[in-house]
Amino acid sequence: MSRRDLVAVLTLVVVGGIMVLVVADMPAFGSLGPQYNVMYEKFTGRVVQETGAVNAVTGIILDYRAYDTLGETTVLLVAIMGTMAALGAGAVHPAAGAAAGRPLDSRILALVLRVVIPFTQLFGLFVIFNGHLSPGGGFAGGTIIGASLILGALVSNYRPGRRAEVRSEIVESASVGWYLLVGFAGLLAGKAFLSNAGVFPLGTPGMPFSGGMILLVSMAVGAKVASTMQTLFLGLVHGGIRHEREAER
Amino acid sequence: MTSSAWTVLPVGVLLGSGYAIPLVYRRYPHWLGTMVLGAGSAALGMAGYLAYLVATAGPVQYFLGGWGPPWGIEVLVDRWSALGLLTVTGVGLPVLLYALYSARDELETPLVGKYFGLVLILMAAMMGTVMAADVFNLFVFVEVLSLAACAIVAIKGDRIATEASLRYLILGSIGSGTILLGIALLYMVTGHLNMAFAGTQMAAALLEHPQVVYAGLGFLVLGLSIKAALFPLHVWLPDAHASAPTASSALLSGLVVKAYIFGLWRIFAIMFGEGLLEAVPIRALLLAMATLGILAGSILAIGQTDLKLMLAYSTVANVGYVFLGLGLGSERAMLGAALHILNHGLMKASLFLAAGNLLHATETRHVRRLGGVGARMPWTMGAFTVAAMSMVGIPPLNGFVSKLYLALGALDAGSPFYVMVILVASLLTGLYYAPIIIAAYFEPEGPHRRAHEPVWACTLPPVLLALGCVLLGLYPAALMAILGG
Amino acid sequence: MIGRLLQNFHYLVAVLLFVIGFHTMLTHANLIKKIMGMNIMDTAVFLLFIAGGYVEGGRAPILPPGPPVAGVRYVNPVPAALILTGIVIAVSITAFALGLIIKLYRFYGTLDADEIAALRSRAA
Repeated sequence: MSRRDLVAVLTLVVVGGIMVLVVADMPAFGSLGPQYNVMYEKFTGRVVQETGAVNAVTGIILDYRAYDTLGETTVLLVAIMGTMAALGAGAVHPAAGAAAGRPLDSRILALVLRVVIPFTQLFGLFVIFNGHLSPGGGFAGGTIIGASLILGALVSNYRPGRRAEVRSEIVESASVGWYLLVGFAGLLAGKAFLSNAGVFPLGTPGMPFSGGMILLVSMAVGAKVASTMQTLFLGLVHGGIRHEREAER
Repeated sequence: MTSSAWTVLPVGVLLGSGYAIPLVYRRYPHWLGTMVLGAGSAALGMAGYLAYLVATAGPVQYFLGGWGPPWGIEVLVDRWSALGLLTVTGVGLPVLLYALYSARDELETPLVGKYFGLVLILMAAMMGTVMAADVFNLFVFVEVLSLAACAIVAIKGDRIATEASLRYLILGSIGSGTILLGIALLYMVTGHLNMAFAGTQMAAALLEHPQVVYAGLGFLVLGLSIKAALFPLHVWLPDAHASAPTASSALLSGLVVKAYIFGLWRIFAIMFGEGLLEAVPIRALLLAMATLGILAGSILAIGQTDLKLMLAYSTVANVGYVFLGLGLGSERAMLGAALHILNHGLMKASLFLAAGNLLHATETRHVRRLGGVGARMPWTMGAFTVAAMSMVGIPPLNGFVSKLYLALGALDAGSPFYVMVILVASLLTGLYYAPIIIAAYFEPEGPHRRAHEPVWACTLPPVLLALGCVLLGLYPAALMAILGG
Repeated sequence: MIGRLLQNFHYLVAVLLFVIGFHTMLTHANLIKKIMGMNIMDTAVFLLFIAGGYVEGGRAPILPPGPPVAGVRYVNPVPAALILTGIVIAVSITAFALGLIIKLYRFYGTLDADEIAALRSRAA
């Protein structure tokens, strides 16, 4: 056993041992522990009246704790800015070319995917626009649409040009900016930053157009996540392929 | 307690400009300076106003979305975080000015817009971290901060910067995991995310589920200490801070590591409070690690021949000072720690910016090859000298003030041993700065006869920051109005 | 203690995952595997957090649009909401780390951290 393995095993025994002790001391699984307090009561009782969302989780992330979600979308933006900046330029090691991908040349797969993709995107839109009514929302729906965009890029062997890169950059920044603007609307209306009730009409709970700010923000988040998924995928793949070309030259 | 939307506005303004700048820069590159400096000054103005509010009317709070705790997110500016906001914006603005010129020099042109977007988001995240009064909100801003910090190292794009930022990211992600685990455990036994509300349940939780509380606190401290580079967990810091672009180094070393300490500070003060912290052996542990960090950081810095690496190791030592104050826990020690956060921000940013000028002009990173630059670059070297002397703790500079308070705090806490630690470490600090300064002024010129001062925008920021060191050393009373010491 | 452990065995699964992820991060030299370990570790934390929000007999917190129905109990929606944020953050870190790894591969032509360290010390 090497020294690194020994250190690893020791660390794991310590960490694992501590964690087992902790588990033995935790409130019993499924019991009504300390979490079932005023916070729990409000979030399973008054969400519908106060936010217009039927899905309590969406009500929490896009209304009660919308500031966290703003930070979360910013993390996503930072990740993509950092990744694209890191992949942008730099020297190339000649041995690094071997792993690059090959264009897809199966006609069956291409045909099937061409049929499947529109339905996937429709489903993604459904999930985005029903986030306040059923499980889902901007992040889930955006991921679905992003997956369909990745499939599409694989089938058509799509290479983003300069213009497409700029376009996706605009979508990503603008959607986070939109989130911020929705927050400022609350301030302009004389309420708090990121207020929902009293600034946006809440509508009738359970109907497609309800929840006020939640729907507005969901759309922005969906667009952001979809675009980020595609950009990241293409960036990681073509970041590899572009340099292979350079290495061949 | 007053409530004011000015607490979130600076975060909003910096985030908004951070989103917009990469796009605007693509089309109108000459607007960059106006936008960056505008956002930076606006944030500084708002932080100043908040500090004024805190000094005159006590803590300022704000409920996001109008949802008060325990349901919604609370933002709280108390006297410590008012100082933190002033530090972030006050040190940040000169660094932004410097970056406007240095970034074009150090980065590839298309990346400059992205760089400033990331830097402004980084500053917004620091302000958010310092103000967060909700553990999960703290976690979110800590993550924005960590990722943006990695990004402004990686953007340099060379071999060492890429490797250093990957190590930074991976170790930071272990930190993120443990912070989230700590939050999960504490939420499970207290049922609250708001720090004050969790604090009200903590005593009961400690009786009912002691192991869970210990482990939760332990994981939170571990995660934040990794990110703040407390001594044995500092391994990622030297390379990351030394290989980054100059302006990034100044921000990371001067500000970012300290923002995490503010988070820990809040968790200690609000979630646990004096009484409970006595029941947990966490302070003794922090004191031991801080002492080791102060001494080891200083000794390792002496061994460095690369100027930026030396400054980075010195940061490890100075993080130790702040943790020392936090570990001692007496009022004057806390005051010393808070002052040291601001003072070290000024000194280290000044040193890194001056070092950037020196490296650019002499084209060497070696500390022994700076003979005679004092005459060629009087402003830069002057700022470096003042900041370095402040680092050692020579009166009447600001480094002396914070070390004095730390020492007094150690006596208050009944442990004079730490006064010795501070004295010894100050001597060690002198050992690595003195040769550079002596060589720069008294040795014959090295091979860099054509070295000269850079443009004013690169000379002014380190001089301004060094001037801040002098002023805060002479008139610390200005800060005491906020800190109430 | 054993009784409590058996009662809480759901959490033990999370602990097991955490340890597996941590082990992978510590012992594997391959950078991609390190990232995988990181993801497993994060997932373990998510699992623990979500499991903590379960209530015996609780339903998914999709509430009725009208007045609350008596006698229905919901699981705690707070951990689910927080973990959604946690997942997005983990994805962001993963993406950025993969980008940096690709970049390192361009420099060194290997993904092995030990080899990279060796190459680096030889160059220095």
